[in-house]
Amino acid sequence: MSLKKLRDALYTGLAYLSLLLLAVPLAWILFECIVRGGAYILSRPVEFFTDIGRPPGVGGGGIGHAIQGSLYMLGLALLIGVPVGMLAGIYMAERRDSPIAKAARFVSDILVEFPTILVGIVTYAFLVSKVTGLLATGPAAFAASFALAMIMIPIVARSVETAFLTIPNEVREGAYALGLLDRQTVFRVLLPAVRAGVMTAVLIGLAKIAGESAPIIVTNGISNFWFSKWTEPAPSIPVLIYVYGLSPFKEWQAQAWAASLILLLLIMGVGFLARRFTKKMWTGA
Amino acid sequence: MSDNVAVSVRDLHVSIDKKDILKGISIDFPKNAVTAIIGPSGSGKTMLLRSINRLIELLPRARVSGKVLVRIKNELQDAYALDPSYLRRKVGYVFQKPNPFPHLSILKNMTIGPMLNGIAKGKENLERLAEEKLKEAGLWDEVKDRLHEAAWKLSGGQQQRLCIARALALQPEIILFDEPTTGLDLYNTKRIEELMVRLKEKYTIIAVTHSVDQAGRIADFIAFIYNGKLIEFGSAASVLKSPANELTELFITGRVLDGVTA
Ligand SMILES: Nc1ncnc2c1ncn2[C@@H]1O[C@H](COP(=O)(O)OP(=O)(O)O)[C@@H](O)[C@H]1O
Ligand SMILES: [Mg+2]
Repeated sequence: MSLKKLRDALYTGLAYLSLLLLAVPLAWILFECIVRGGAYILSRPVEFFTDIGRPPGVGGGGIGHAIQGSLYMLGLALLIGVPVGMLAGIYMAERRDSPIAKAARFVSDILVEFPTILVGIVTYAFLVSKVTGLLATGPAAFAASFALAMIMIPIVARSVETAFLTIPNEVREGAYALGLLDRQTVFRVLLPAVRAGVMTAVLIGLAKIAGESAPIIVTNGISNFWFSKWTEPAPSIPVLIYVYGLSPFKEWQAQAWAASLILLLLIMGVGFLARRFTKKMWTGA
Repeated sequence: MSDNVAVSVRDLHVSIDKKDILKGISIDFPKNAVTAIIGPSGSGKTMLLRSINRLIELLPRARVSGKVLVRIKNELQDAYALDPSYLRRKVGYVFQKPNPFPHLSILKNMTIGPMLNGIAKGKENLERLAEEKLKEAGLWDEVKDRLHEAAWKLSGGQQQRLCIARALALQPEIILFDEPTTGLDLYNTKRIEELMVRLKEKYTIIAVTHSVDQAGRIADFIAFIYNGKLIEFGSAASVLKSPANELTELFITGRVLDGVTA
């Protein structure tokens, strides 16, 4: 065998090995969740999704409150994060040489790498700390949404920017040559051209924040009740997994696995959707 | 100034990053005529064209000085005092590379400008305008059954004619063409050349071309630009047959290399 063939074989082997290293843990986690959590879901297929959790020893109950809480929190996070992230991304692409765009790019690059728990702590200090908080004086659901939005914004911004940069400059010039204004060019011509890319950006951002627990715990604390007010702590799936999973109670642990399964399926579903959009992304003419 | 002037450029200077691109150009483009701008590549033809409809302002580092007057509603007006959006509607621009909005339908390419500029209102009026202008550009028969297909599906030549129709839909008075037949086949080149000649009845046509032959086929007047300066301007016949300047003669006989400085 020639040296080149040997090297090729080696690289192919390494590629398969790394695939295995990626696939095995994923399959294993999925398997554990299905086996340990699936049984619990099957035993209470409706109750699990609609009911609130029960104290240990009582038995039964579900994660309905956490699903509801997560929907609220993620909903508000999207409401803040998507427009801000999109506008920032568009600005960075369309005014790419301006000082503001450069600063925004710099800040988002740092924020993307920022430990999410720190984003939580900063949010807590600014918004809801007893001492310095601007909007409340204790853990609150809105603060969690804000922290999640902050985590999502740089991801959305950078992906939206990338999407806009794929648009050939001639398309922009064509729009301006028709007398279109900046905002008409951006929203009526350019945005429709990269709709799929923007959808992908939002989904990637959503997938990133859907599983976060640390920033929620820091800003919102822990709640085992239904969502009540934005200024009170609210429950959420990741925090429920954290609390139930670490508890010594068998039925809580089973529910933690079941909730993990749901969360995993959700995130994989979002990832799958994102990939479909990526494939549909306009490829130019 | 003469009623016959559609665009008057006075001592136009353009620089980008301190590099002088146009070095004091003055020229009057006659109304309802085709004026061809010829010159080696890099001599500043595109920048001259873009200074007229202020597309040059998309380059934040470009500096423009001098005066550009454009005849709109039969009155010469300072292009740089007008609302740029209005100016660009009235002074259409056709690019070197066909640039329809590739993801939008053929119809939407036609209607988006008039719709957003408030030139026509309502689906019916917009579609009537689209049809009229596609006919004017000689594209209607080829696209009338596929108006809802994405524009990128058209051939390059059809895309370019769509871009011309799209500009016409804004009811311009002057149309700037930047080497509009670059890379197109003979058939489409011929059709676009004929179209430019036909359009001069209603519009003033200023067309950059790097082909002297093309200038000969379409132009009433020819401006020769070299190294950011206007070297010669006159009727097509006189410039081609008896150029006054030696550089012009060298160029039209194919003996000036691109980018060589005089
Ligand atoms: N975006 C730009 N930034 C900097 N310089 C440019 C830019 N576009 C064109 N130029 C320069 O301006 C000069 C004239 O360009 P252009 O008007 O495109 O020439 P032509 O159309 O005659 O080929 C060239 O030297 C070119 O390098
Ligand atoms: Mg050019």
